[in-house]
Amino acid sequence: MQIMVCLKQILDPELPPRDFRLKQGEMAPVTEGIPLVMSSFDQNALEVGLQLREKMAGATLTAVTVGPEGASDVLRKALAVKADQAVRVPLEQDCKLSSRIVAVLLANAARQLRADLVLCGRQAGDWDGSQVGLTLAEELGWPCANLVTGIEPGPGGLVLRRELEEGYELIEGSAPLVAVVTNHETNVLRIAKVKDTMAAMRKKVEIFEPDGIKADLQGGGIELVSLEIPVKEVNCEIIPGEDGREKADNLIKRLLELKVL
Amino acid sequence: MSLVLTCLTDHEKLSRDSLEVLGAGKILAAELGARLAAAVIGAETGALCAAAGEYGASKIYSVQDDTLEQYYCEGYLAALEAVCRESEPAAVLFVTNTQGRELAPRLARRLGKAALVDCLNFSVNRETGCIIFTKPVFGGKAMAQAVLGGFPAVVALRRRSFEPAQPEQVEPEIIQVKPASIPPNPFKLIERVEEQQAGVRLEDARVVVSGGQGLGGPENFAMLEELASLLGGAVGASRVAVDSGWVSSSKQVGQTGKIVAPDIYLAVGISGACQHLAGCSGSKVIVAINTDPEAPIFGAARLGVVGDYRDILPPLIEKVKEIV
Repeated sequence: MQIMVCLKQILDPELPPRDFRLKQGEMAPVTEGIPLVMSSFDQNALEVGLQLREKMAGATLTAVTVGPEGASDVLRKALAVKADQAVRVPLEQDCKLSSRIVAVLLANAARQLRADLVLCGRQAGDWDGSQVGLTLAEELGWPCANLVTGIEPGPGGLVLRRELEEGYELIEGSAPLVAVVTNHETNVLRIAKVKDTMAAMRKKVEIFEPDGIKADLQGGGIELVSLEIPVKEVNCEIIPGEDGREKADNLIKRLLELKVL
Repeated sequence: MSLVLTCLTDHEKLSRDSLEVLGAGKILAAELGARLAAAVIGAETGALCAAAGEYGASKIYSVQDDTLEQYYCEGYLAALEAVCRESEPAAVLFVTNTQGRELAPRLARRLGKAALVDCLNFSVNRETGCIIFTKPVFGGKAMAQAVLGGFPAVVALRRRSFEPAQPEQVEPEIIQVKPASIPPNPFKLIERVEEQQAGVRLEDARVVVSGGQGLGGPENFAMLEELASLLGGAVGASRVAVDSGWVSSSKQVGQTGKIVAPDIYLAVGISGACQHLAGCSGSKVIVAINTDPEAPIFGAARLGVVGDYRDILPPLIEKVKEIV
């Protein structure tokens, strides 16, 4: 079984709102001096892939990213938690909301790798497009399960645990397929050992040139017309009080005055 | 006359989600000078056709097939693709729920278009006729406006962004659509575990008491449960609390969890990441209890209590017992 996990490098989503700024006239955030990290749902997808590989003899896991050279950092992180292989599809531009472009490039990588299972995070923590995995499945013509939290080998193929609005379900499918992963207590990405992190620095990152499909990469059908930081006009009223009891009393009083209690 | 097609993924009865998409569809249809249409899918769609007509859909595309008795993505996609090819709508609207989230991008791709998911609003440019959609990005730290190239514009709207449609009886024209083929479900259901909800549904609750990292463990959620049940409310949680395994993921409030809009949203030990606030910003009054006066949650809360929740919640619970 060839498992391919799609990873995206993004601006650290933990960045406090006050430090989040936009470049003048560019419809893009300021990235200078801000840490870049692996998108969090992609971390969950990677963990799901690693756990599955451990349960399937002979399975290999390849981490793939689409992005500039610096994006290789997320691949090194994947190698540090023992991904077998890493591939970068070079792309300088930020596709922003045009997920289609990335889906086409990843589908191409999946074909080149002869992947049986492609794992993606449900949405990247930068543009929150929420569609790369789903459109990637369409590109490949493969079945796709959305909001998956874990995958196990089963008698008839793969058993996927999928989140529902209230609860979950177990479904069985056979490869090839795409699974779009969401967070769960069972798929928090493991922490790499220091020696593995060091070793990952020396490992090779394969490059898949997107040659043949470059012509396809214009626009992607979505035109971004503006990007703004919303102005928040909330003035928080701090409830006074010497101790917990007094604060609790004053809070109840204010809630009654505001007629919400 | 052009069409705004709303996709209703219910069986028998219209859910709040479907009423919201009909409500949004009505607004967009008025702006575009278009007709409001609905797509209904199932083994027996009669009741849904009637219900959609009662809420203002004047043209209803019905796909009736025994294989579509239960929702499954591949089947619904085939049905919706056939409806879109038949109706050639200007816009196709979904709600960003479990179904809309997966249907919108895949349907758009099949129609050779792009989609937008989790949109909050739209406006129509009178000169170009383009529909401009607003969507939060960067976990809610920024708002993007975007135009989808060509028609239809396929969009999933965030829950609770639009008022549900009001009843408005129209005599709908019902068109039966037969897809050329409906593929079987590529996945086999082994087991479905529906969580039994005690009390009110989180999304419908008038009061939501949510806990985050500051609670330090699952045991302390008991206090939140007590307060919530006294107020006839429900308990929610931040993503950290879910990832730590303290509460089930169905309690997660935020951009990728539940979207709630209660009268009171009490955030206990929650720092206030943008993606969390995206799930509760429609609340009437957000109350934050946090030890750190610098926590971002105070930037979003109407009322703030700086202090340890363990000192504040017990007297708060006592006080609530006195008044309710």
